[in-house]
Amino acid sequence: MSAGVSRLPVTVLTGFLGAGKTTLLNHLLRESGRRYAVIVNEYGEIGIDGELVVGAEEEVLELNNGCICCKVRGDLIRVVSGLLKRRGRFDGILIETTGLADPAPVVQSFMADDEIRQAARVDGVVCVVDACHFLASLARTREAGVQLAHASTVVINKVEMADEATLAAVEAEIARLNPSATVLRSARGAVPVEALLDQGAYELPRLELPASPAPARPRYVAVPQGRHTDDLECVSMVLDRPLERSSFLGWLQRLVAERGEKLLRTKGIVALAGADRRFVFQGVHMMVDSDFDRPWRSEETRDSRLVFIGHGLDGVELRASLDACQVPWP
Amino acid sequence: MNGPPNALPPLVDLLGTRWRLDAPVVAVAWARRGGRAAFAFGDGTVAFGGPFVVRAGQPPRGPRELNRIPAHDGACLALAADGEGGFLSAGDDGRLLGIVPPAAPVELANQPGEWLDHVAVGARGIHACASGRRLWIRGPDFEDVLTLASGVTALAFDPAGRTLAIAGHGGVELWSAADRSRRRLEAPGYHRALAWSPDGRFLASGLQENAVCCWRLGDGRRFVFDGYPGQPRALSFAARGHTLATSGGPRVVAWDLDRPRPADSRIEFGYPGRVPVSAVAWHPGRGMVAAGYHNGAVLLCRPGSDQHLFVQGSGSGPVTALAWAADGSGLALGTQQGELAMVAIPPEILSMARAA
Repeated sequence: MSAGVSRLPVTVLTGFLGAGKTTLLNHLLRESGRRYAVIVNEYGEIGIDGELVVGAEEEVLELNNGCICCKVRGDLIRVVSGLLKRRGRFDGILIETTGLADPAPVVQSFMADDEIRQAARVDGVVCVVDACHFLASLARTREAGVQLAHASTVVINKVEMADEATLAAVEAEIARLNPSATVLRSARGAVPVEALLDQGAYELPRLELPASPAPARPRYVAVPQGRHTDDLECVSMVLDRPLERSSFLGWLQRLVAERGEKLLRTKGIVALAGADRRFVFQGVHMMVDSDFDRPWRSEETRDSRLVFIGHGLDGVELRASLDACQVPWP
Repeated sequence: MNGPPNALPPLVDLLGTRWRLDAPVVAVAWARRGGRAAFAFGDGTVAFGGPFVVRAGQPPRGPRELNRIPAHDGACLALAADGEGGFLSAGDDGRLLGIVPPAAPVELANQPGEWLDHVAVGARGIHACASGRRLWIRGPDFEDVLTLASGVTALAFDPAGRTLAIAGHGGVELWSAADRSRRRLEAPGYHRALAWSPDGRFLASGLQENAVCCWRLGDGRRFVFDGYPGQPRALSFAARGHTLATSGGPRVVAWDLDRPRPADSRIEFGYPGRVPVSAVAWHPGRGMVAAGYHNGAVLLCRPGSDQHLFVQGSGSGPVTALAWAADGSGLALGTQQGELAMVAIPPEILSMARAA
């Protein structure tokens, strides 16, 4: 990347048809004070107020790199490449996806293309959900869970239509499946725009994980009628003892290689034995980005926190195999 | 990467002219005759420079003037030389323009709402342009509209101008001007760049998956060259023999397709930079390659030699466009930050290189 050129921030909007994506999009366009190029796949509920709106026909393509979960969006690579030629005319890109779209190929397009990766970055994936219908969608469709798993921010929309018990249940389910997502309540798509922008959701130095995650043992969840058997779950782990570098890196590599397809999101801040810097990683399916980050601060607990969101993960087995990577007690 | 101290100043300072516009250079093309080059920009401008200034007893120099015309309402996305000494330019305003300077552009096609992002010119007045999965091929007495299985990522006519290669996901299609038929060359992967060998016997494609795929069209044999750290999006064949130079690594990577095992013939040459090569252009007559880097440096280098000559130092953004004049007398280049240059390359410079 050439010095002095900052990468364009890209915000991805996901959510089912009718959840209020377009309303939120227009709210962002009006309130953010920024100039956006908008990429849409479906001309949905109402018009979009942007000056530069590009329609693209969704084209999900499998890359031939030995990983069937490595998919990119050909339409996005094409449109974003074209937009980059107009650099200077807008401050960021908003991508509105179709109701049932999987966000992974969108994010992976920005990771897997040299030209685009150097010029643009996914700043956040915002998932808009309808307060009244979300739990039912989650039980009925695989897509709702997948969209939730990829979200860096979840906007619970139409709160004025739902009672507090419903909202609490929605928030509990979001916290269970994606504990590191920021959750906002909104009526008619009105949320403070600063809560949606400048998230740096895929930038390792800005990775934050909750200090006291949900317990790692799989909890019993009442399964509504018709729920998929390949149940989506989130496995969060905290390890107190440092991890031995080569065995942990091997463990992580094996995990994404063997289960990449089922692993939607992986994130971690890890204390490696003998390292005075935090080792951080985050990934989408098999594409994992990792690096040594800032040094541990003296007042910090040097523990390791890891979060895996995926289908049919065996939390007990993950925990046991990871435990084996810890250095022995002194 | 500014070149060694006490070395020759970069050739652009000695033999060239530089300009700067406020928009990225998207593409460059030389007219098939007349010594003029056209540059297409991200703000819709098309600019023309040339021919070189030749004075008795002095080395040739770059042209002084650059003529700019506002062509597209938006960005230029593609540019190609036509058969007549002019150019075709395609834009995100859905317009395909024919430009023969100094005359005003002529609108050849208008597809409102479409981004025309690839254009190619064949023989006998045929040209093609693509938008997403749609492809328009026009000749003097026909127009075909094709719908491809996936979005078109590159177009290239063979040197005879009678076969059009169309790149996309999972392979390349060949459209023949003889009977307007299509045939498909299947190959897994996402094909995003194309180049024909000058004799039309080989077709190469650059893959999103950090590899190059190459077909020998006579017998349909296919070679795959991998091991690239980045995406080889620039491909260029030598004038003679069948050596393919590519971008995608810290140096120019080349493969010799005449070897019994082409995949074992990999050679690298040029300055080993800390940034990747972003553009390559093989000289049309000699065994020399112009290589553009991600940091704006452009140099001349040749296989099997560690020597190189700087055409331009680093510091002006990735080189996005690089092309030799058809007679090899000059080089045109452009960067993402809007720097462009035309540099005369006299034969004395080229004598460094053995005839290819």
